[in-house]
Amino acid sequence: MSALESSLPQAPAPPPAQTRGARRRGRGLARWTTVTLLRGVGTLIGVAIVIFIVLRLLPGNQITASLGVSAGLLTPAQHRALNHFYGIGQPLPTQFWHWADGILHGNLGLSTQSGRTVTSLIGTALPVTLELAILSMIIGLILGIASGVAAAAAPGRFGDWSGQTFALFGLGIPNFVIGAALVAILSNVFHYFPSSKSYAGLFSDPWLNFQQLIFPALTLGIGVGAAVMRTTRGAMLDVSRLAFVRSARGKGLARRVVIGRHVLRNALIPITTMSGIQFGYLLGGTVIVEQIFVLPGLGRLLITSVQEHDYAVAQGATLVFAAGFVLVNILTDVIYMLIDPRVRT
Amino acid sequence: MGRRKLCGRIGIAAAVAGASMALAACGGSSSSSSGSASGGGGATGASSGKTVVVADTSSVQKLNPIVMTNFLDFQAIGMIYQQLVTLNQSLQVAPQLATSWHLGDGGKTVTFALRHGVTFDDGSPFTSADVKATMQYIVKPSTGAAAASYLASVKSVSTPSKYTAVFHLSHPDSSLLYGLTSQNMSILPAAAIKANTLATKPDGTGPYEYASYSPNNSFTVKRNPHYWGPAPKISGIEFKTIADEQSIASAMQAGTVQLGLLTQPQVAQQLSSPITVDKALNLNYRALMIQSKGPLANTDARLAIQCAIDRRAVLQAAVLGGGKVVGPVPQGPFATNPNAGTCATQNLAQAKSYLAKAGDPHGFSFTVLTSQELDGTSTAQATTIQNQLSKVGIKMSIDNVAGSQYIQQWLKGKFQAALAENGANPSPYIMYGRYFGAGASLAVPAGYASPTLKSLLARADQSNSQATQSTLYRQFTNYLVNNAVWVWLFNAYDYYATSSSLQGFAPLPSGQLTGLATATVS
Repeated sequence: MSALESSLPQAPAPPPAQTRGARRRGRGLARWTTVTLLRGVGTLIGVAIVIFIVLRLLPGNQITASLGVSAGLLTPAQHRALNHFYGIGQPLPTQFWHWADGILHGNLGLSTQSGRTVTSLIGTALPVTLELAILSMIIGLILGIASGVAAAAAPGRFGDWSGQTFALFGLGIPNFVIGAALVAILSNVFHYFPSSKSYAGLFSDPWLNFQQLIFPALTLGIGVGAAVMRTTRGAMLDVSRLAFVRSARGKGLARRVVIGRHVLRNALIPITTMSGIQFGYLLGGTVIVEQIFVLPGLGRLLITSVQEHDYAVAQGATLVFAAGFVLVNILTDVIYMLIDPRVRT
Repeated sequence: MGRRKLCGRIGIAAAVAGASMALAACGGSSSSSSGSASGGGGATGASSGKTVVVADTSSVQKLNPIVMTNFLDFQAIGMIYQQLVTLNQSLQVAPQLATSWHLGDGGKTVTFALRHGVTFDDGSPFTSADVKATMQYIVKPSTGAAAASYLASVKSVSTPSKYTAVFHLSHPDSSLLYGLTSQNMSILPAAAIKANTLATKPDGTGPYEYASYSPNNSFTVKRNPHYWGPAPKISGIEFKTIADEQSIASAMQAGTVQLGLLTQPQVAQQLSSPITVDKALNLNYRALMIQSKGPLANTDARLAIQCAIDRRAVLQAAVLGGGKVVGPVPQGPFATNPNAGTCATQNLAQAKSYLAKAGDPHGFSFTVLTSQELDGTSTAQATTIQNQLSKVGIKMSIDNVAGSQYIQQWLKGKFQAALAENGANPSPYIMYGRYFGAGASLAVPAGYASPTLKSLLARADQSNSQATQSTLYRQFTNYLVNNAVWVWLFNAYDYYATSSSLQGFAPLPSGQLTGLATATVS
């Protein structure tokens, strides 16, 4: 290097290739996080607006929902006072702003029917729904992956046939039919109806809690399992045809190892996608199943609040469901990244 | 929505009046002008503590007794709260928190002597101040209590002593006492009203006190250790929601429920020993309400409908015959004879004759508003009536709508005819003053106005003589039936399935479950 060259300002040394890659990944992760969060917030705002408007399109109002035809007995002064209390007659944007402002300050409002805070009602109901959803998911994944693997391992044979029959049953029969049938069989044939006892929390009475949740979870889990089974079977059959699987077989690896370590592992991406989608639908399914099995969860709270025009509760419960859906989608994306390095880049 | 829930939606609060829990202790007597009872027994011999599970398809919805409308709320919250007066087995007014009452100033004042030694669950004593505060709370517009209509004649409440409350009326009002029996007129502690805790923490004077509440799931009460009457033998009661009546029956057979509240006769009939099933006539009545306009403005056209309807067949189709055909006042001291009046039984020849007199010998058309969502029997009722009317050429279309839609149309009178389940009361004035009386708040859905009806109702209500009231109310109901203002159909039974371990429970005509306080469980 000449003296002239040495007197010139030195350009910064190019970073090592590994560091550049890490930065690029870091920027990519930051961008992904920002976009995902914005998308989630946008979804929640959209849901909030839609549920707010839809509830107000229903015939009647909080007064008639609360009093039925007895609302006709109210005097004009009582009507005025109740209109003021419920905010009836206020412009919709004003009502929406009051609600949104409350949410921003951590206040979901007050149940006009029970007098309790929406936060406390949701706080009581949400653990029931979460436990039900998680248990259903576990049942669904066990049923789905096990039958899917069995079907893919022996296409056209008994395992495949029984797995496909299960999938047809699970996808073809709505969960409310399965639930109602389960209730009828258990109660009428076996005189077994654990829901006739007060709902027991997971930590207060785990055994009763299990008895009360296992059948609703099975009702939902069958549907999830059916969808997961179809996806598992298809993905595994696709992967089974790839060259590396043939190589593994050619190397003399045990069938169990080939299926478990090579085929199933590489089929996990579509299974994860399907599981994420199913978990979202499963949250919706809890609304019906909680009603059938009389579980005091978020779904039952939502139905009751809609019937009673208890707007704050219905809006709050819907938002929590929507937030759950958004969260599950984010978690699914995160799991993608963990199990498939290609997605990370 | 089952019929039990329907009571809350459609049934007027008057349908459910306070029950006679106190009577066992008081042995009170009453008349139209006064009543009295001996002092309370005080809590004695507290017995052992087993709990009872009561199952219903509905859930407790509101804890404030003044604004509750759901039938189960009346039954569950009714274990906690009491009223000044209640209804006895004959549906006559009897003492409860008031031991006696007398009328003064020509019926323009009602003075209540209040029971001594009664405390609320929070330990505060029950006094006349609580009575006054409760009445003020009920009529306060922001409370939004439909029951305020019971106090329309009350100008003020004075409290000359700690145990005396005087109601000052604008005019004599014999229905006031019946109104005061409603659970919606429960006596509240003044402190709870002031603290605004009624919606979250019930605080009454009844045999049980609030224990816990899980919305949409269960509501539990426990024995009130300071109850002024005989100590309840059952230590606690849990009101449990079970999705459908068939499952309630199964839970009873499994032994996890001791008292099942049923409305479906087919479920009640399948239960067998050791489960016993009692039935009691529901206070609510089914009627075909008719708007007096269009072809139905003609009395002969309405009478043709009345004559063409076989009410027993409607009862059979709707609830498998589990009930009774009734007239305008189904039960109580002023009950109507359902076998009297024009076309008490189906008479097709008479129906055709009325059609000819109406100028429509070949019949006419109209539409009936129903809501299967509100009343699970309404489709069966409607189709049966439709078939019966078609025999004389009357074409009835059925407009079955969602519950909230039905309520909106009903309140605005936007129907030609409507199948309704309305709340009944032993007092005809309470039942029909709101529909046909002067300044009736439900005149629009009633769809019929008559000076005769107004006059008869007002005179009966302002009379202090039960004989005069009986005469005037008989004339009133005769007018309703003979002009086919509406067509009254039937009252259905409620069924109370009890397990063998629950002994001594008897349902009350009001539908209240306060009989549980004197029952035992093994």
